[in-house]
Formats: sequence, structure tokens, C-alpha cells
Amino acid sequence: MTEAPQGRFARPELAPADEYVQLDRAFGKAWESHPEQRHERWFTFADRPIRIRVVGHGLARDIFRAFSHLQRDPAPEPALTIALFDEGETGVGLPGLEPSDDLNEHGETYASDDGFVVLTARPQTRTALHRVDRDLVGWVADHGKLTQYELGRPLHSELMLWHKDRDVQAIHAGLVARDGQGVLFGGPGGSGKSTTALTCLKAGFEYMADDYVGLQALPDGGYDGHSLFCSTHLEPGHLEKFPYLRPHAIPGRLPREDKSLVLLSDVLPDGLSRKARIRAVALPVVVDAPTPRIRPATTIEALLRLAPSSLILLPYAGVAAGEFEKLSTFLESTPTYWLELGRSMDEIPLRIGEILEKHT
Amino acid sequence: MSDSALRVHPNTGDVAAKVIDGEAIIMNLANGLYYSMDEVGSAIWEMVEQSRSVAEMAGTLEARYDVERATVEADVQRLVGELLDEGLVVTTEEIPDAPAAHEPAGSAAYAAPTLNRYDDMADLLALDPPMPGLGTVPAE
Repeated sequence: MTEAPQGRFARPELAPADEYVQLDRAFGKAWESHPEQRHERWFTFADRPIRIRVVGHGLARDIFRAFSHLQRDPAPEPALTIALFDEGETGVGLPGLEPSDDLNEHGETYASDDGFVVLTARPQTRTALHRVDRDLVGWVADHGKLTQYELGRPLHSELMLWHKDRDVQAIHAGLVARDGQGVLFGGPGGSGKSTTALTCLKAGFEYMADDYVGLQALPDGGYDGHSLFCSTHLEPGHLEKFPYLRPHAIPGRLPREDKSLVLLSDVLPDGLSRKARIRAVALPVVVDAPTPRIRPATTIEALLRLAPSSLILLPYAGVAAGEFEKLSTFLESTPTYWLELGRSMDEIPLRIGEILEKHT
Repeated sequence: MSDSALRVHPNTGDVAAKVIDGEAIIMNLANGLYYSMDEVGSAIWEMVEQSRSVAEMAGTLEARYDVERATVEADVQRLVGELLDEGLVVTTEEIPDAPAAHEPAGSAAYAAPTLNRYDDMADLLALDPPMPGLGTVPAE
């Protein structure tokens, strides 16, 4: 028996696979009836071509921004087609599907019994990912009510699952590089990942992420890190450290949105990059010292910094043990360092450069 | 069952663990708590993974370290109790096929095992709704 959706965001009469069909039909109706609002762009996710189609000018602008650094030319065959439409802009909806104005709700997720179709219901959106057909179709009630989180990391859980299905593990980390050779930053929130990544970006490093990285094991035993989003979320005090970002900060509207969102493609588009070969891991830690310094870290120290927030925040259950093992294997084969940040931010990129000189 | 005969093994439904270079990290993925143990604790965890009894674990450690049997058995019992209290292990009556490995006599310095507990992740809410358990699908 297929699990039927239930809960405040769901239409209980439809199973996830049927909901996928309904959403797909509604998207087709919006696409056909509003040619003036059609938008199509191609992007690269984890080395694969992705096609995103949107009906609705405002929704297209909001969705494309977070991925703009990953844009590419069209390819013969997409590895995923994302199709979204905005009911507010098109007037096309689904019978019985109503948004919730309580934007603090996190939403609910359901899967078909075979696991092929995953339905994600949030206050203003409903998406269905068909993992086999490589389609992600979604309804947005009103793009103007999308949360700061949804603007900075659109379709986050759906894309984490899509990456996982391709053995690309989304981990809670930052990544910068020089000439494609990268240093990954691990640690919980507040440890200094954003400070390190943004300081390196300003110093001319290639920037992939300060929060989520797609980790891919390569046949030669090495690892690539893939960029997912070009967004950063900064606390008010943190934003003061980066005056060049302040004009681009998008404040939160909800009580939980206590950070400002900055889409870095608006600020330093040339500094953003799609991927890097990971040569080392640095574990930022805030210390009261005049200058930053690096010192070796053990594998277990790195695992303690990287694994908890990477695995506990995974939106999909039942796979974390396997992901933990993969993360352990990655750290056992990668040089790891503590990065004591100190008070002189300008010197952080010098320490990252020293790590890269040792390992490239 | 006496305390010495007690056997536990990892609560694999909720727990992921790894021992590297004599240190262990254990994560309870159900509640966000995670743990570390140093040398003796990690040795005990490796034996927990083999469903060894408290007595078998104490015997192995007594042979490896410079420690009295009564001391090490009390320490193992205490640690196993903590692991049970934290939901990291569950009791089992399954006796492993292979006997405990013969341990050459040693005199390494002994330090009582400690379970270090970290709760800084427990209150962290995922901003995405959790997904149900999902199998694998053919990717491409």
C-alpha cells in the first residue's frame, strides 16, 4: 500500500505518486497558458546538467539567484529537470491545495512505498521529486512569501536527496580553492566557517560554499567538493566584519530569521566557482590571539567537528550511519588542521595558502 | 543474569560509531547527542561491537593493561551502564561465534574509561522537514 500524505499541509486524498502527476499536469497548464512568463535556464549540479523551468517572473528571479554561479549552456539530456510555477503570478493552482500563512512551520515530507516519489510540503510550496524519472516539480503559492531560508537554499532537502542518490554527500562545511585546489572548512555553526570562507573570497580565492558542500569520492581515491548555493547567512555582528556585503544584505522577516541573507553572486560573481579538488581540511576555531595559526588535527578531532552537524541535520532518515562511514573514510585520507582564527582576519587567507602549498 | 555475564551491542537503529587511532566517536542520530572515548573506552566499544560479555571484556583489558581484575571489571560495568543509559547499546543474549581473541600479556598504563558527552547539537533544529527512510534508486 502506498503511504498517503497526511498532516496540515497535505491533501489526504492523494498519495505521493498521484500528487506528483497532479503537480506535473498543473505545471504543464501554467507553462502552456502563460508563455510570456516562461523562463528556462541550465545549471551544473555535481558535474551534471540540470534544467530549471519556471513559470512566473518573480519566482524565476528568486530561484535562479541562488544557483546563478552554476549556470551553463543547454545540454542534450538533463540529469534533473526542475519545473516550478507560481500560483500568484499565473493563477494556476490545484484544487484543495491551500498555502499556510504560518511561515514558521517547517513542513512535512512523505514518500511512496517504493521510495521513488518524495513529496515535500512547506507553508508556501509543495514539491514532488521523482527520483527515477529525474523530475522535480513544484507549486509555489506566492514567491513573495518564501522564507529567507528558501531564498538562500531553494529546494534544499530535495537537492540533498538528489545528490545523495548520485553518491554526492551534502556536508555542513565551507570550501575555498586556489586554481581548483581546495581547503574544506568543517565545524558547527559559529565556529568560523563563514568568516574563513568570506575572507578568502575577498582575498582572491575561489569560493564554493560556507555552509553546504557536495562531497564526492573519486575513483583515484581523492575527493571533489561541489558548490550547491551561492548564499551566506550572517548574524548582525558578523555582517559588520564585511562592509562590502552590507549593501546586499537581505534581512529576515520571521522570528527565527535572525541572520541576514547575502547572495554572493550579487557581490563578487567572478569569485564563485563550481567545484574544487579537496586537498586538506581546516577546522576553524575562534581563539583570542593576535594572529591566526594552523596546527595539525587528528582524524577523530576532525570527525567530531564535521560529523555531528553534517549528519544530524540530514533531512533524510535511515542513511546517516552509511554517510558517517563515508565521512570517516574521507577524513582518514585527507590532511586535517586546526585553524585558530585569532584577531587578524586579513591573515586567515595566508594560513589557508600555507596549507595548500603543503598539499598540492 | 549476573553483571559479569551481561552482553550488549550497539543500538544500530539510532547509533553510528567509529574507532580511529585508539579514540572512539559515537553519535546518537535520534537525539543529536554525540560522544567520544579515549583508548580504554574505545577498546571496550570495539568489544561491544562483538557482543562480548562484561567478564570477557574485563579479561581482555586485564591482560593488556597493568590493572587489577576487580578494578577493570568495575570500570567496564560502569561504562556499559552509562552506554545503556544513553541508549547507545542494547542488551543481547547472542553469543559471538568466535571466542575472545587471545591477548598477550601486557603492562600498558591503564586509565579508567570515560564517556565524554556533547549536547551542542541536540537543540539544533533541522530547517527542512525530515524525510522518511528511503531506499536506493538507480541513479542514471
